[in-house]
Amino acid sequence: MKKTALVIALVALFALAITSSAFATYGDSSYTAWSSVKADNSAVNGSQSPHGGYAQNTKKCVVCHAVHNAGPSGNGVGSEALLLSSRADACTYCHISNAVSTKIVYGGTATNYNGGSNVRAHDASGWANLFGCKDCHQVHGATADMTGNTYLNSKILKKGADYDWGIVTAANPTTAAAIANEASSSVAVSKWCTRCHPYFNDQQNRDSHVMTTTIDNGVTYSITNACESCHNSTKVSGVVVASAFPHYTDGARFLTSATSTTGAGSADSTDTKMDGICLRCHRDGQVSALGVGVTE
Amino acid sequence: MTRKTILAFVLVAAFILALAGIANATYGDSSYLNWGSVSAYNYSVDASSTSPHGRYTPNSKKCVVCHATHNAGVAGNGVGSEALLLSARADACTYCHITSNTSSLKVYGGVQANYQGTDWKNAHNYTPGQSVQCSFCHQVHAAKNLMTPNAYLTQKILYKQTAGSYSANAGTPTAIDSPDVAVSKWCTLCHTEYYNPTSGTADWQSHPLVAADNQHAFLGSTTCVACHASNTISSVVPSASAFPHYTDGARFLVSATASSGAGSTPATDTKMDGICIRCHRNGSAPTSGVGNTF
Repeated sequence: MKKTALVIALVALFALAITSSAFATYGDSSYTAWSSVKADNSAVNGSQSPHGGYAQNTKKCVVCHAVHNAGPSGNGVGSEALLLSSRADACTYCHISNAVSTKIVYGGTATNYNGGSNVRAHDASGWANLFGCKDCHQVHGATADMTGNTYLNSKILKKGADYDWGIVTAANPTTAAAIANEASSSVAVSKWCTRCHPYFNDQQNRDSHVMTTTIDNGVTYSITNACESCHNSTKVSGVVVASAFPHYTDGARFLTSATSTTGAGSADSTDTKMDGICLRCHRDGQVSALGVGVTE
Repeated sequence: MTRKTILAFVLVAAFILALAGIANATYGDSSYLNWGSVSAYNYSVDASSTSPHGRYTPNSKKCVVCHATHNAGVAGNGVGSEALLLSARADACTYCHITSNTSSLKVYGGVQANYQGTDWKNAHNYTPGQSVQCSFCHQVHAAKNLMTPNAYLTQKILYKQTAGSYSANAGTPTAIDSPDVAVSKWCTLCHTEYYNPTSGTADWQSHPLVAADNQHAFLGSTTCVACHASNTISSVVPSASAFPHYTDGARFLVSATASSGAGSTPATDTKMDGICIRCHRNGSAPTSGVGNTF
């Protein structure tokens, strides 16, 4: 019995030794909760964001990256860029599923981002999984990957190799240089969108709606110089949310509908074919009711 | 063919299909809708909404029948058009009002060549470089500030011009003008031959627009349509709007033996005396009027 007890004790000791060895190997490579380093980071340079403010003494990298033990739950079976998840889902924890960040998008619901609802969202599951947060945002704001435009930089929207798929005009070029120097935030975003949506159009009689600051009373009563002139839905579940557009909004394709340019009857568009999307600008809304189709 | 070659073909095909998928996703909701696919829906929104020319509401779906916001052009191929239409503005009305039965209001006898040919004699027609297009006269959406105060002209979506654009003798169409008078004034935008002897200058160079005096004329000629009265196409009176689009009569004129209308026929030539005799000879028994006693 004494021998048996001794063997069991040795085996137990051996097992614990191995486990201890494992902890020693992976221990310092694990992920660190943002909350546990937030105060330290703030003390270094007031930095409140994992997107920037990196310094030698800050502890930010390890919140998202595990050098030697990456993967879901830090199980060391591999992931993308040493993350807990794939790149496409890397933003989910802070910006969708939890209230870690004050900037919650997709209504805080993961399926709005990754659920196949392309009509109301830029959705990671759409278009053969070719699309995700990372396709627009450069999470660390790496200078070499930025456009140089102040507003776009603040949104960590990364530059592209090309814009507008070749539809570039002298008046409104969507070259990288033109985007960098664009003073209007909404126009800068519009030019930036042409990486995938080649609709930037400053001329009449093209295949896409003209984008102009000119108001031609009789035909139109509001300017349409940016994507957001039409794609201006700002609500999620009826509540105005910062950065709803262009992530996830109540409006189909982020569109809104109204009876006229006054905004009367404004509602999120349930369908991209609704005439209210057009009437928002093409009817003036005064008592005299100028504009499209009011006399017949 | 080797396995490697087959594999290469498969991979290339898959790549092309993947690209097509991206393109479709990009343009998806910007395509045109067929009117037939939304007419019932639009009717449910507004029972009076049977036309693409008016009755737009936030919930109707009419704009996208003719305009594609991001994918306009012939067959919606995204290669550009005018005003995001399937065609040029000049041909925008053609599909519904000439070449198909989409609208009950057919003009030009349903023959495209009557509109887009070179037969100016019988038609207001459109030839590139000689343009008299639908859009020159009609404001397709009846935008109110582009309409005259006259209800009849608005119903015909004939758009206004600045006051000085009309003949000085005609003046601007008013709300109380009769349809024929309003149209006659409106025509002076291009045809300046409007002569009202009660307000205009005597001995004008154009036929006076006056009531019958029963000595020289036995029918009034107060408006353009008093003479330009042809209303048939291929000898049939269409449901509406032969004049002033395309009619059997040259310059939309008719000829007759007297004011009774006896022998009435579309004028084949603008020089025919029957055009004048229609009014200038008493029709009951042609004993009065031009050339009866000599």
